[in-house]
Amino acid sequence: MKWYWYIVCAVLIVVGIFSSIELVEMFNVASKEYGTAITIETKNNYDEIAKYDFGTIGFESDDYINFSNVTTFAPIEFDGKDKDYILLFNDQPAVNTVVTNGKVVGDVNLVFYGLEGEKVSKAELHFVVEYFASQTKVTTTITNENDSVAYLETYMGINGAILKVVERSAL
Amino acid sequence: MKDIAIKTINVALIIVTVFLTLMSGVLLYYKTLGKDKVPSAITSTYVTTVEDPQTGEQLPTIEANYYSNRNGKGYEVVELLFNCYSGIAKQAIYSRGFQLVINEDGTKLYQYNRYDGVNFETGHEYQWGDKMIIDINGTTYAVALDGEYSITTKTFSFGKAVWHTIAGLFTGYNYDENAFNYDTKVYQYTFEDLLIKVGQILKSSSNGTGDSVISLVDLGDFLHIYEIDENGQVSGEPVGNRTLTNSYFTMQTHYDNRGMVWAKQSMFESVAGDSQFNISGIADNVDYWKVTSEVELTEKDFVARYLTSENGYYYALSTEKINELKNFKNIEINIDFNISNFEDVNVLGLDYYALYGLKINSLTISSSTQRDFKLLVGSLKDTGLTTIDTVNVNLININSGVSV
Repeated sequence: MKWYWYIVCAVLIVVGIFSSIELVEMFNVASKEYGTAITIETKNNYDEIAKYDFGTIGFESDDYINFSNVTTFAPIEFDGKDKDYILLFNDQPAVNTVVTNGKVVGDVNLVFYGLEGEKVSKAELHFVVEYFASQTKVTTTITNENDSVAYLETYMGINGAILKVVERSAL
Repeated sequence: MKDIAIKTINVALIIVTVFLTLMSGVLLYYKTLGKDKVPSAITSTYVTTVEDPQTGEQLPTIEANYYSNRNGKGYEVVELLFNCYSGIAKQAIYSRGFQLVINEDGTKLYQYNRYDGVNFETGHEYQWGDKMIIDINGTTYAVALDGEYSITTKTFSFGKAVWHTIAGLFTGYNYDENAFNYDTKVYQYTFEDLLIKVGQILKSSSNGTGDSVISLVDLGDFLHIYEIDENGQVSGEPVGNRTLTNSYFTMQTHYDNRGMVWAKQSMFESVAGDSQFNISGIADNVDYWKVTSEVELTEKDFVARYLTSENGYYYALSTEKINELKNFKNIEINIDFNISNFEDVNVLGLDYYALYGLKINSLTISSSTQRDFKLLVGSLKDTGLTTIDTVNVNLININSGVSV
């Protein structure tokens, strides 16, 4: 063979080797799965009945005077007819808690004091907990007076925001 | 002898060359005419959570936050956080965040890091193809934004049009296709592209506004997963290369149709690199010395005891109520006892030990008309009260426990 035929053969062999490798890969593809298709729970879903951990309550407002937050949780069986409940926010009571069949309403007032012991702000939180068959809906409202929303944000940054509905007899 | 050896080698060489050339031909066939005969496969990766090695807490691998600014009162902001590891030894969660801020000045991307709860603008901006270390079912992988897309443009070609006119006499005319030059360019997806897509996913989600979880978000166009071997080497090509790849991510999301107006709304507590950003009108950085919970009681919280000899009623908090309130630390009890709210009832005063032992911040007794009000023995004992506010009320203190 002439010398240039060796070069032609070498080129064809190299191309052929790569083609063969690609053919092998092409016909050896297989479907695979990595990991598991699970659903993670939101940070707001807790198994403990009637304890709602918000982390922090993300208020919404259009006018930045009236703030509100609506958060839904998993449904639970709740019957307010036969038992008396009290609503607690970070273990602070809403003494005026009103309980109807499937609804708990209460106000928690947090008073903030400055370094001289003077009252600098008061955050009046109004909670409505509604126990629907498909979900538990918690509505929180507050009016921004004397920077109460700002103080509440600072407070929740330190203490978090846990709302509980507990039987008075269990206190 | 030598000639025989050379001939043998030549024959072998020719056989190998012919065989491999045939392989090239076979490949060419499957790449062109036999495309539909090539088997395909689907690779699916499910990226859900990572475990914080320092706390043991399971964190969502991806968190997303979108303020769409539908009300036009703030900035449109899309945020994406990858909870990934600081290195392949998985010593700590070192999250990487991306924030797209869209306002009157245009669109700009900011990159953040989060470690140990502190957010800060990154010192190492991630680029296309950079790897972030994650975990899938206990195995270490890397994820990278390395997706590509192509755009084909067509431009009119006079030469092709003329030639196609001639050829069209025999093959039929199709000037929509044959009279143009086609130019296909491949582009790399950017983090801006990814954030815009994530924002659209949140906006279109039937979960609506607020916090939620969207499972199995396929970001396979943008993100690919890479295997890491025992030597710490990241594979050169993503898992499922040559297959249709679904990169499923479970995202913890927050969607808000207002505009972002202060840094606290951002998952990085910073907007456009400014942790003090606040155009909400709400005060910022307020602080306090102490907080208490204020409990307001009124006459309705008291129970009555009828005294025949005086033909009237004395009032006290029930023992249950006092014991209940004693459970709470750090509360501030204020009592507003309005006698005029009792209709057709002769209110005489506070009963024996009416508020016994309950720490009271303030007590106001009022009436619309001038009248006497008795404080029976021990009624205010150990309440901590030093003064009682009155309106139209003359207090008659019968050893109540407080000097008034």
